[in-house]
Amino acid sequence: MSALLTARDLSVQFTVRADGRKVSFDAVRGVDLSVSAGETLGIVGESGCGKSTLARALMGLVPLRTGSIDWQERPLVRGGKAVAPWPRSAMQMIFQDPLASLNPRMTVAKLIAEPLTEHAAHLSADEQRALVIETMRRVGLREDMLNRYPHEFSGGQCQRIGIARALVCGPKLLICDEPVSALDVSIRAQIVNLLMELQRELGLALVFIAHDLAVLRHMADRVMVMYLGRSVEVADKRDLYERPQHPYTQMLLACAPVPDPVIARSRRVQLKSIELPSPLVKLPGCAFQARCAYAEPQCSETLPRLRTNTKNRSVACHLESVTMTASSRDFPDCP
Amino acid sequence: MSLHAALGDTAPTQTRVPPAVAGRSPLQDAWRRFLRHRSAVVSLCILLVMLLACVVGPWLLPHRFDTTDWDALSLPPSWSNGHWLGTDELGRDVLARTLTGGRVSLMVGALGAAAATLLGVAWGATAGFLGGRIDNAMMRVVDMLYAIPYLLIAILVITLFGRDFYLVVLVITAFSWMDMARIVRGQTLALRSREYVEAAHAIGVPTRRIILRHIVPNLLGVVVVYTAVIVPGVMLSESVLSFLGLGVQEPMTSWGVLIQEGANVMEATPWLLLGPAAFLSLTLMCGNYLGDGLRDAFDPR
Amino acid sequence: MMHSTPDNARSVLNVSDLCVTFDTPDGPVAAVDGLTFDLMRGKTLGIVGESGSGKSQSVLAMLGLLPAYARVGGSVCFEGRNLLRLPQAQLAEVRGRRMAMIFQDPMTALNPYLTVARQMTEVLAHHRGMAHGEARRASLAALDRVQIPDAARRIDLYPHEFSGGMRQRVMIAMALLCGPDVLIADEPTTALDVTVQAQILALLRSLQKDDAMAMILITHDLGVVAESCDDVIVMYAGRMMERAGVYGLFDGPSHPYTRGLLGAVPRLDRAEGALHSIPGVPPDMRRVAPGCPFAPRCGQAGDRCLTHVPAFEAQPDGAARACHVATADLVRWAA
Repeated sequence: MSALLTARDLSVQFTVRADGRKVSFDAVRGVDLSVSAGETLGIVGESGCGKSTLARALMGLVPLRTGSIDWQERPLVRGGKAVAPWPRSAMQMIFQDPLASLNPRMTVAKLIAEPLTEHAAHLSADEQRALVIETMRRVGLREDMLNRYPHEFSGGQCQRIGIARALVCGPKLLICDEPVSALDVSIRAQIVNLLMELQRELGLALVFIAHDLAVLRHMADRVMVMYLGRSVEVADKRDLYERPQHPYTQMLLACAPVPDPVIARSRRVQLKSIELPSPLVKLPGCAFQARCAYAEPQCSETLPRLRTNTKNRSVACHLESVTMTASSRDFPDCP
Repeated sequence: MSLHAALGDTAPTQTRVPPAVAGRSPLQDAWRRFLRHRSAVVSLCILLVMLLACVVGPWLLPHRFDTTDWDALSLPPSWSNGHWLGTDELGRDVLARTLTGGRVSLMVGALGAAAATLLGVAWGATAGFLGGRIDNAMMRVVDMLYAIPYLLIAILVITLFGRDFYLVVLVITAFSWMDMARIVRGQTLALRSREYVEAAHAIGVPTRRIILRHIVPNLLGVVVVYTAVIVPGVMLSESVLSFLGLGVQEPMTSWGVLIQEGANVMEATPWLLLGPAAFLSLTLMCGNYLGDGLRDAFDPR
Repeated sequence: MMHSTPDNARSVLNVSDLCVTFDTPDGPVAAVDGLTFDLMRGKTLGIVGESGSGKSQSVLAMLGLLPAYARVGGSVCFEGRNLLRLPQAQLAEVRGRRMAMIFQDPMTALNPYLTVARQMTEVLAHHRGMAHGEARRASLAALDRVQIPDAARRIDLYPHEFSGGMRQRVMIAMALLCGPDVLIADEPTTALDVTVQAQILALLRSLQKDDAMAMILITHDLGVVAESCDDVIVMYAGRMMERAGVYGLFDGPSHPYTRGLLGAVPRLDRAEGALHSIPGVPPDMRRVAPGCPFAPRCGQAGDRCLTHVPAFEAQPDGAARACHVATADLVRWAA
């Protein structure tokens, strides 16, 4: 399976005002990733890990400081600058807040047709309308919604409108920035199922960003874990969930809520109240060392590079194999 | 798992959902909210009646605004002789003069507000959208204009170039557009970072079309509200200029001119002042209530 | 649950048939209808539901925090007095001192213009008449209790200088200053990262154990319920659907909605496959159909379900539910 999208060494820099001075930091640092046709890459991390920024960088919505991107094995970005026109009709995005991502003054018909007016202007108005209706049917929207406005719909329906808008041009890659985080539990399942079904039907590649590991368990083929702008572990789904190697991945899995009181109460998560270090303070070494139970002196001195152990598995950690005690799922105290 | 079952909305149980409410655009929603504001609705009606009266009234009244009647000099208001607001020292009917003057005042208000709005929106939206140094430069121009004493310049210009109707409108407009520019710029800045603008970028919509399709229509609320506030301001400016003797010239008259003439003879013949003053005050007050109502209609928070 | 408690467990709060109706321009909207429960000392009651279920409105009503256009009926008995009928002065005594509340977003609950020290000492001065020095010492002790590191320095900072997790701890500390008998937590961890959420939930559990405090935990996250709650009420469209002990609820839910919710939640430890979603959308509370509010989305609704609202009745095993379909006839639960 050839790679649809390949990215190397992506970095995105932000400049903020802190204590009256301008400070720059990298929201995304040196991230590599690749997605193949028909597969789902999950990206997971907590707030401030840079996953949303990474999504926007892949869509060409934020400028890159460094990095190269190949699209369908042809160069798209070199040294952080675009060297070819961005494949807008082939790469589309779905956003976290379904209602906010729709212009409140446009009808559903106009919203879904907007990509067509940009990329398929050669189609007649009737052809465009037919395509819009067909796409709406595919995502579960009724035709009588055509002339209504976003605020008249629920969150789940608005997200369907967003999905229809993203699909109408027949893209190959869909980047989903936490598309179900703002939805109710019962609606979340509908949208997740819809995306999985559409992927099967249309052979889409998905980059699915989430902070909820459980959703990725269902949806993703491979998962990338991010921490403070860096990619710390990339693995096939089964490997990641059953044999997580990076200490941060293990911590995430240990803390993720499980809807089963027996399991939830049998694991004891002992965590000191350590705050997330500020991304503005540039420390040498591993970004995770302050919270890591296994930290050694070398962790605070040198940055661990992402090492690929076996095919499809990479970990950025100095320690060879950090295995979790599988039975009690205790997480040891932080130093 | 069939596609049918996965697509929640088209599941078989959907037929039991109660019938859908008819579609309502944000504009219709705003209209509904506006209608609930009684004072604003009443103000709107009064203003419409006022407009009608000023446009059509002078033709319907028995007396013309510039017909002098030496037999009816300085008469107080009376029902019987047809001079409902009295006559002035030349025997001209005050009501007819007031309505005719209203035409000029309202026209100045409308033209001035329209020009100020167009200029303010164009300036503000461009500055807000482009951002950075251009935004800075454009807003400094606005700041400088605020610093210039408007009345001084108005007096200078009109004294030098004469009391032409369009010149008066121009001078007033030149100093009325800055508020609108600031507000539109602020709103544009806020809209620029909205998710649907980001989505438009993601789709590949070019910048020009993003401004026209996504930014400008969502400025509508703010612009409508502020236009309703600019109109009374412009009319007041015109009245002030007229009061200083710098407004429109004879034979045209405006409320400001009438008020100035009436103020001179206030003690002897107060009705010459009261008529136009009442009309102007009423218009300004209704304009403000209308502005309030529009603001609540477009921004219910 | 209520009928089988031993005699030495006291009930601290008795809510009976709580109803909240809002007078909106579109007509009266019944946000809460018939909420009934007894809260036991030292226990945590979880109220779980999606948006529109009325879970937040019900606790706001209990503390008298709803706007004037809300009509509240029923009774909320605390220490023999009905809080809903109490005059403002006496209710203010109870609120903050005997019953405290923490919210989802600490930034809006804390005054951004006052230091934390000032806000905390103010509470103590008002409710317990402490002098400044004593109040400051007590505040420092409270911050230590919630494990805020370096409390002596941090207490003089402003709320925006704390991270999200720290702010939530500050809010918990403030809520516990007067040693309340009941703590109401309205989605306290929804806006927090997973690792911080685990810490906060653990903290709440330990504090509750130390003080034998009763807690009402409102959430939409079933994982949080499984981890922290002893008893659970499931709400939908303002009504109670099911009330049970936490183990019983997850082991064998006796309401179609609960079953649907549990099926729709993605599991971290489960094999992949599509999620069992609940079809349809939550109802529009302004146009409420007759009969059971869940009937339009229920796969097992019969004719009676569409016309008659099911009564909330106790079951032989101690749970309670509102459903016309007999437990034995419910679709076999595959956990």
